Amino acid sequence: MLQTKPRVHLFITCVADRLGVSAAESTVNLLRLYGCDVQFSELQSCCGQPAYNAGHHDAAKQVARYWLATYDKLLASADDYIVTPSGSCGAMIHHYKDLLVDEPSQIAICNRVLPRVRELTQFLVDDLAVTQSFVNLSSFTVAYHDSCHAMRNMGVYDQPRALLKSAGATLIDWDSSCCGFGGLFSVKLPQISTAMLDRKLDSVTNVMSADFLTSTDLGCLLQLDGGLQRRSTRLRTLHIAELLDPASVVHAK
Amino acid sequence: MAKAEKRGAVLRGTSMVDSRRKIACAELDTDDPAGYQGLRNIAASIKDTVLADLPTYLETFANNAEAAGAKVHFASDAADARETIQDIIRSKGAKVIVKSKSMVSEEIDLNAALELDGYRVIETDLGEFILQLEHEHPSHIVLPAVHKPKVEVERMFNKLYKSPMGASADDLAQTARRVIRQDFLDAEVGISGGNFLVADTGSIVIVENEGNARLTTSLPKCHIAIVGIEKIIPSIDDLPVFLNLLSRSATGQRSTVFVSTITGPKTLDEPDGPDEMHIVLVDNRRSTILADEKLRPILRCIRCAACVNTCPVYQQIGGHAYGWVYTGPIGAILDPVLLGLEDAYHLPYASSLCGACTEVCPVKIPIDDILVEHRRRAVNASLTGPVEAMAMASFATVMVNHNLYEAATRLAAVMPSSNGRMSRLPLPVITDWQSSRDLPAMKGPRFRDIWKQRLASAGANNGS
Repeated sequence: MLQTKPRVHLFITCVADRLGVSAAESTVNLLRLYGCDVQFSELQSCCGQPAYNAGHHDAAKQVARYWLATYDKLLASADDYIVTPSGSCGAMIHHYKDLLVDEPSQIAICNRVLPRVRELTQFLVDDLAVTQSFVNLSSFTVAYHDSCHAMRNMGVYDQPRALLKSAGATLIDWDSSCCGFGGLFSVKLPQISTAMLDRKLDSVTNVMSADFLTSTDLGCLLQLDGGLQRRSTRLRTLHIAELLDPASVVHAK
Repeated sequence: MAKAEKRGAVLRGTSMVDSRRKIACAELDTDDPAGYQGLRNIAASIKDTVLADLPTYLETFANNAEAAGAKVHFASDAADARETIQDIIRSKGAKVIVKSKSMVSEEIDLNAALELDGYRVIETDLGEFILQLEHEHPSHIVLPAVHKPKVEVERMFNKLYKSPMGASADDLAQTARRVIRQDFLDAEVGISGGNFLVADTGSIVIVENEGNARLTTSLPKCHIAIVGIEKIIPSIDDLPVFLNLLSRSATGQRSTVFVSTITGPKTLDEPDGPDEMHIVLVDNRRSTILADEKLRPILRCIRCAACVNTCPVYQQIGGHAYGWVYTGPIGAILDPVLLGLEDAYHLPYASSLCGACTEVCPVKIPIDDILVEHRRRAVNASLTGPVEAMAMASFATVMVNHNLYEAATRLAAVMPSSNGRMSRLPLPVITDWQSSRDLPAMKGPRFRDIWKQRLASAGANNGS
């Protein structure tokens, strides 16, 4: 653990703000348990990913500039962190340098702010060197879903697995293929998106026998949960922060 | 044929080859600079070196190929390439033409033109042969008939060649082989593709597993190779890097069964081989890609189809859904240039941007970035419609205005719901989502409300 109390500015993301409230709350609880000074600015909104991925880059640039200005003001020191519970939103922030390549003043902000951005589990394992868990998941079997963007663009792969194992969870070996969410893709091409989802849910027979299905990305979880609700299964979808937070509903007995 | 049957065949075929690729590449996966990642870097940088000076490399290749006795033709577009080939064949007085696999010949729709001229054209690659019997086009650049369940082929061969139902894949191949053998002997012209053009020797290199390309390029008196101008590598010394990556990435083999390096036609002291060799180098909008810095990495492609096999979208929809010759992720970035963005802008949207393609590309083409780049251009060209443009502009306005964001996220809570799930609403986007998935209710406080109510003060109590 670090000597001084690390200061963390939450980037909770618009999805968690509205659709992942308990995941967001567990994120705060968890960061505090591990000794962080947690800050939240109400000025935050979205990373701009929906517009960026759809090719509407003027709209995406507007949101990117707003995001950069907001967090540039918040960072009180070069040691502050920006932590998000949603991997693909974090990955989007790293696209800002390409998106705003023609705007030197924005690139200067990018150079200050982007190196401070972390996905939650990445922050806990890589920066705080967390190895101890506050919960006991030894009676649970968990299927961890890799968010494509967290995995490929932020290097999140071992960290969530390490945290779940340190809590004693039994992990199911699940392939790393896409769940079919892809933001607007899931509504532009719903049939293909759902076929990908079904394949992912069917790909390992024992996935359905797990207790929890978890991930580091709220978009993926929206998709996976949306599909599970249409199946008769006791399997529940939870954000990884909810699984690791002793105060979350999972651990309320 | 049943759609589900076809989809099953695509999913099985691509998954199988994809897992073989993984194993074959993992074999090289070390931190050693000559390991898999090292080879990818080397291959990408060799390709970039060539692309930075393509005309010079093409000239060197042409000079060396002609010095070895081949005739080199440059074709600016599809019509030019077809006419060049038609002229050569006409001068031979040919009747029968055998072909080995060539995606460029599909790209320029060569078979149709030759058949109109009255020639008998026989595809000799097993997959292509099967497709030709049913007048179908390949659905995949390496596994052209991956969408065909085996039983379909049994039925077809049973009807045409009295091959028994339930024949093994080997037996089916033997049947095709018997049928095609006579055509090889009768053909006056053999048309092949080419995997690499080697500048310093003037050779073309063809990799294959069936031996049909070797026969196509050596039995008929006249061999015509049709190759895209981007297939150049500087030197024969660069070949091992590319052969290693291509065979592992394409089929999971350490090496393909046949690798033919062909340098000019038969010489006076050689007993076998064609008397004439023509190499048709096809541009067909490749120089447009070359001149476009953002798209240029597309020309590194060695057509291994690793991106196709690993693509979760392709695995579900198969190649024919892409509507043209190049399918899967590489097709989704290449077709919009070759066909024009207006006719193919929807292809780059057929992706969840998962990035699996980029991860497996042996020449490190940033495929997902280029998908987004095409989308950006489609939006700039107003191809995606005014409704989406308006929605995205409003989205940005809300996200950069604190008061609007507050109002919008509060307003979302009035959406009707039951049991914690959002009710079905006749709203675009929502209905598309709800066609197959539930959506959680937006009821209750937002995170920011909870933060204000209890989290901020709890933090203060903890002394932060």
